[in-house]
Amino acid sequence: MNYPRTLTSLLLCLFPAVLSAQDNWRGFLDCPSPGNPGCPTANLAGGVNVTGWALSMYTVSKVSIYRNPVPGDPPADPYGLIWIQDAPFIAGARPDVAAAYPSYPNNNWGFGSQLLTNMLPDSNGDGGRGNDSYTLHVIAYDPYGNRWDEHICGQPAFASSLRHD
Amino acid sequence: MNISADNRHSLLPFGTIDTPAQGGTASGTAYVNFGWALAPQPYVIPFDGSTIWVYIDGQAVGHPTYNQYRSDIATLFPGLQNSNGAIGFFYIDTTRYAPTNPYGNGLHAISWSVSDNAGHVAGIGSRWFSVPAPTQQTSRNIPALADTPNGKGPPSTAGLTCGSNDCTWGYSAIYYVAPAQMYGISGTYETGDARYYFTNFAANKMLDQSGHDLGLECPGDATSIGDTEADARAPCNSSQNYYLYASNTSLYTLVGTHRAQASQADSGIFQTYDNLAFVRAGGSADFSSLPMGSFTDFRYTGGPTISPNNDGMTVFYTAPRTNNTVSVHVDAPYSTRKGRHQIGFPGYNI
Repeated sequence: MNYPRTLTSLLLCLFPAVLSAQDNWRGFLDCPSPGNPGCPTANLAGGVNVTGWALSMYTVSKVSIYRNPVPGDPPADPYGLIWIQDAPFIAGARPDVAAAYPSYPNNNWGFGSQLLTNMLPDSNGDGGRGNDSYTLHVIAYDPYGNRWDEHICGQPAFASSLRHD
Repeated sequence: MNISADNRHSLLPFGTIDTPAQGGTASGTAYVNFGWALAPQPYVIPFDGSTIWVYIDGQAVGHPTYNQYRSDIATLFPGLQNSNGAIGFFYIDTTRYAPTNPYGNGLHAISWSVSDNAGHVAGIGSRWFSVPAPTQQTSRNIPALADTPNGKGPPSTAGLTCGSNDCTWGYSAIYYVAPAQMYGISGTYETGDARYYFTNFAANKMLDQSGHDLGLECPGDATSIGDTEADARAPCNSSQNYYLYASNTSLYTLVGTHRAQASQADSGIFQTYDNLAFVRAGGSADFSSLPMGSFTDFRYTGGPTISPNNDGMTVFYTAPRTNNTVSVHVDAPYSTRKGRHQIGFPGYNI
């Protein structure tokens, strides 16, 4: 348990006024998304696109894709997650975002990565690959080590990590 | 974000693109786009790559050379029809995609479309990559070697030391070549022949048995090596060339040459491998466990040994000294840059 972090999260939830540090984040996960027919979340096979955009007034240094551990995994990171891969940013890929948030740095950057589900261990730990359910976490970082994750305020899904304003 | 996957019942081909990396950069006239593709049982992706299309910016630009072995994929996904030949590569002339504006980002999209023999189609590896403007290209880490497998310049004795019974080469310069040119690592060393030998160029490797680009195929005898067959085909290139013919994949790999004249000659092979870790500058690697073919041990007793240096590492090989000439050509898949690289050793008159 990371008590300082948990306490911080609790305070942020109880006193939204102190959310300013977090509130500078903007972003959205386009894929996968239950609300996007082109980016389904169920019965996936092969490659899955993980795409979206993320902004911070301090710039975003990286976006990383994690998953919850499954039986047989190596030890998880301090946040209890298994890193899968980073999603690189592509400058110029999101002029629509730049138009919507002209005051943010690097505001036309999108991120995108193809996650190959065949490479994931079966979530039931049977030794197979690429079957059953996974919880993905897409987390944005700024250059100062701040991370924008989905644990804040206990919201379970990515929408709280990279919110769509 | 919760997702569920069901690859167990999927009928679709799968795989990914390895190079360019997601969001990576591609440059040069022969950038090698690597990828791999597999189909679930019982389906097979035709070995000739004819059902794999490379798309750049939505336009089909060609088929990759397919059916290349890579151990990690073969190990990770065994028992599939293409497990031992999942790799494909395709040359891209990135200058066609370079931005004309020196400040342009040259952003492009690449993907592969893969079909199996039953018509199941899947797109794999879709990603962005960028091509730098010409003014942004550099020639870093491409030293002006006196002699390389590309035949630039005359032979040099730099780095060569000889004892009474053998000679040792040490060469720290690294000459960059496109990764595909390194696939099917092979080499030749000779003793007793003043000619140095060029080998392992892409056009001479992994040739399609169906007749594509078999310019080096010549009549000759053959000998079996385990599950494969080495064909000595002469006369070709003024010498007898050894090919490794993989009967399971119907591919030829030029692995060396045998000089029928000028006394002693030996040829050796590094079997195709693609699982060496990327070694950083100052790092080290142990090649002692590399799989070797049944030819004369290419490593001989004196090598290779690896010493790190600031530009990658130095490779030392030792070959027997016979008559008055020794010649070594070595390809080595490492450097300070990610990807495979080539070191060329010229012939030395001693």
